[in-house]
Amino acid sequence: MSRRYNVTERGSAPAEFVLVAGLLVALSLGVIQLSLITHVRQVLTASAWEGARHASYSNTTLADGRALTRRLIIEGLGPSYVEQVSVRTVEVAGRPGAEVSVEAVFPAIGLWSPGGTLRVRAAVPYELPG
Amino acid sequence: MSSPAEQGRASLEFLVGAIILFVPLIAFHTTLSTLTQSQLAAEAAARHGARVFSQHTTLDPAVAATESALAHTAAQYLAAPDVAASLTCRPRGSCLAPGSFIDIAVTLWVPLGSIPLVPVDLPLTLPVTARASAQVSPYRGQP
Repeated sequence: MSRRYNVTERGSAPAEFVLVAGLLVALSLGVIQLSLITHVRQVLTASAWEGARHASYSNTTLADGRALTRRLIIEGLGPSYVEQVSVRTVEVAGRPGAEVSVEAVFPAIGLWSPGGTLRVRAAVPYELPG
Repeated sequence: MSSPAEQGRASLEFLVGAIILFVPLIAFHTTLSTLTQSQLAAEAAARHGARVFSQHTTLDPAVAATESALAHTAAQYLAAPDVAASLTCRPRGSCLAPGSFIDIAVTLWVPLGSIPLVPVDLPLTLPVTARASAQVSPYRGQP
């Protein structure tokens, strides 16, 4: 009786290996996905900031800033990330400034997304004429 | 022959060992993304600081406004930025003269975080530097 009990407890080594390996592969893919999300976020923030900076010059318009942000995002991440780029004038540290906000799809598996949004914004005060 | 108490389960040891190995990887990832974010913050602060400084006419208000602009800009991207900056006028001695240049170097000291579960603040910080230049308008004060 006792001998039979031990035999059933021993488990199958290949089956255990498959389970553990599957878990570890999932964990590694999760870490890679985390880096990818960070990368997408950084590219969006940097693009939004460049666009806001461009829009803040005294000889450019908000539309120029929006166009630059869109171009940078297309170059950095691809056209599926430029659906929602909006510009407006906001108060930055007590002065009017240009704000670019980007709403992009949240990359859940690779760059594929089932839904959800990633929001970033950047604001730069307007350059004073003169 | 080892005693039953010493026999481990290979798969369990493998799993626990691998998960422990993931901790430094995630910590490294967090640190790296903080550094990238700091680079953006430093560049934004430097370019905005140079602009704010070059748009003033007298030195003292210019320095004060630049300092607050640097702190404010860095705070847009980082939670608690530690900003230091150095300003150089070109040519020397003619700060804010029409047509002169201002060079600014902004250094953000980025803490590299602490070890999880160890309540000790590491003294490790890395400087992230960005430079920017701006020209004071040559036509300033002219109608």
